[in-house]
Amino acid sequence: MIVKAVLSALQFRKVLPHAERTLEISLPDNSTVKYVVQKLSEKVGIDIEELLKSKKVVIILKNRVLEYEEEADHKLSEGESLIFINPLIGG
Amino acid sequence: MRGYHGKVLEVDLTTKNFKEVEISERLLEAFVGGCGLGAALLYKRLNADLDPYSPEAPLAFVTGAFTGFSPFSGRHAVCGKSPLTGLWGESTVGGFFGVELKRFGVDALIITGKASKPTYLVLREGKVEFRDADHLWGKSVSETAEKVKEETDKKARVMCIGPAGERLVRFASVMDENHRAAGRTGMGAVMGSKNLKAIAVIGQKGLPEVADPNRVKELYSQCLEKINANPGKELWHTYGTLMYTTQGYELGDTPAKYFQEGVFPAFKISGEALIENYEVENEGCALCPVICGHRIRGVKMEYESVGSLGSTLGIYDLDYILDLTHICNEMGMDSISAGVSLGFTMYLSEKGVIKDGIQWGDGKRAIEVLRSVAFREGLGDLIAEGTLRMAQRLGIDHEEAACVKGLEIPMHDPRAFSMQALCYATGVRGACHMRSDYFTVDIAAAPIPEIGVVPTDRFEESEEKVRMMVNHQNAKEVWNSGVICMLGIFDINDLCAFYSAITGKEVKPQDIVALGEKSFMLKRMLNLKLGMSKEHEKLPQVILRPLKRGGTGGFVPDLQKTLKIYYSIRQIGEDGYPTQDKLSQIDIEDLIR
Repeated sequence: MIVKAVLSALQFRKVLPHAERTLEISLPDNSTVKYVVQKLSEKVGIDIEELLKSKKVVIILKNRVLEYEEEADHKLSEGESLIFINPLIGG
Repeated sequence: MRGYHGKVLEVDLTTKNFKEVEISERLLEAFVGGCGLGAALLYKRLNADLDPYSPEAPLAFVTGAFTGFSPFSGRHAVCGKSPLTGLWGESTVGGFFGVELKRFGVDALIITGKASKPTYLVLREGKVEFRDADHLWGKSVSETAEKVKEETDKKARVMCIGPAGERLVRFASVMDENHRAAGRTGMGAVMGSKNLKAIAVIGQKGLPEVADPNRVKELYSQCLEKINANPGKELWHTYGTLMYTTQGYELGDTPAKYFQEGVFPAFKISGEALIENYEVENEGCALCPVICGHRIRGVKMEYESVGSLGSTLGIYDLDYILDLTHICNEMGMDSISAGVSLGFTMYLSEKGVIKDGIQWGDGKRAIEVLRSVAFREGLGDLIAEGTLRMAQRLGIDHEEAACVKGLEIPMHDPRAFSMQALCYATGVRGACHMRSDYFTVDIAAAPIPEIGVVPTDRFEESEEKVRMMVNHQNAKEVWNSGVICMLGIFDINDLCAFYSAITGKEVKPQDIVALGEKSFMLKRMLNLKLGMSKEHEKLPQVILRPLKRGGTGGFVPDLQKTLKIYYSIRQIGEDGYPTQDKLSQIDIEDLIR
């Protein structure tokens, strides 16, 4: 299956140009959020799990913030989008 | 009550008299300061027939319990009757003026009357000087502030208007000397109607006593430690509020082309693009440990301005956006209302309603027209009225005007967060993203779990979600009364701890909700008195069309559903008024008689 990851959080600025921060990832069926996070970490060379655990970054999945510590084993479905953002206010 | 001077300075520009008047303990205890206290102080002076430009119309500058004592307290409120909405007008602003006003020895300044010619006020050593401002009339904000300082005291703190306020542009702002704006609801036009160009304050008396000075000091240190450890501090400092642009885009929160487009090149106008292409100077307010302000080639820049003067206009060239923002800053105009009104002009130009208007993305023409707005020349004179009056004058359906109760919708699309839509519909000053900023809850930026306000599905419209929104809306009244910056690091526990140490009145998070409810309901009663009805509590159709592309996923809020729940939770009847039981419970009956 294919899921989309949008790496919008500013921590990704140092490792990927903006145009390359929206990724389509091919995964085995029933892959978990944790698996995607590991794959992405390997790809971009950042410990994304640490960013999620420290809440410097959060994932928006299906229009809500995913509680990573509790929902890392959540199984993804074809076509879903994970948006990685900084949980910060802006104006 | 500790933390306040318990005094308001009343200035009459017609007679050139001034006096200090006591503020009752009852009001100070019930309203915390800022916007809440402002509404309480002005409640009986405002009515539906009052022309906001008449000499009798009051204009208030109000500090809060926290002003000068806690981090993020370098703010004050500017309040009165809005010439844009005809309802309660309030705007909070950062900078240094608020703390200086409190150091002058009063909690608030209320100005009435009208000077016979351009005037500026100097507040120093307990006195008020009325100075000739003929030579300042027509000057920009920077020129005015610089000249006033030169003529009074380099240490003076100045609030002033630009040419837009002088010409009664309905969304004119009152500007701080460093371009921080009390932007929303047109308080700059009220100031202009009084021939009042500027106010300089030199505070020599000092801050009032607090209940527990050692505790305040201790809390301040603890708070600084917490802020320094917060990863947001560095990001805000580096990127400013523009850091939100690309994130807002992904969620469909950042509007484009007058709220009609969901896909656009957001990165071009992001904080990242800004720091990659320009040299940035950081600038902060009094008592701010973050310093989020960004100045680029002399222009103070914020996310709201980038959205309203950029993507809303289909302009993605930061140079044009900087120039447009500069005009708003120097002429003294609210960049949100100015941008949305320009966007409406482009929208109507595309439809052929406005001839010789502005085409989408035409930055050069937008600059030319925006300048003409400040001086009310040609097409600018129409735009200076704001979107609702523009629609009326052009014979366009008012559902096409992107405003609520006459106040233009800010740069958080109500189709991106269901509760932001409800906030706009029920906001005490119309479409306002600061009363409350509910989108911050659903992205986990500033939830308030202590009062049950936690992130959930951003499109959810359940009773439980509306209940959270009501609690949030109440609590944020206290931030705006304190007057505390809403950047998000100063949480409700900080609020409670500082309030208790400053005033000596112990409060817990639920007490903050109760305090905020008083403020919210008082302003609602005031708005009803000024002519608001439930029919005004809706979003215009122009913003309720689903966006086929982009981060909203085609969501449209069901306001009929959420409003019904909202009124029930708030105990608001069919007539729009809170029930007698509710009024008794929140104990404001004596103030609204």
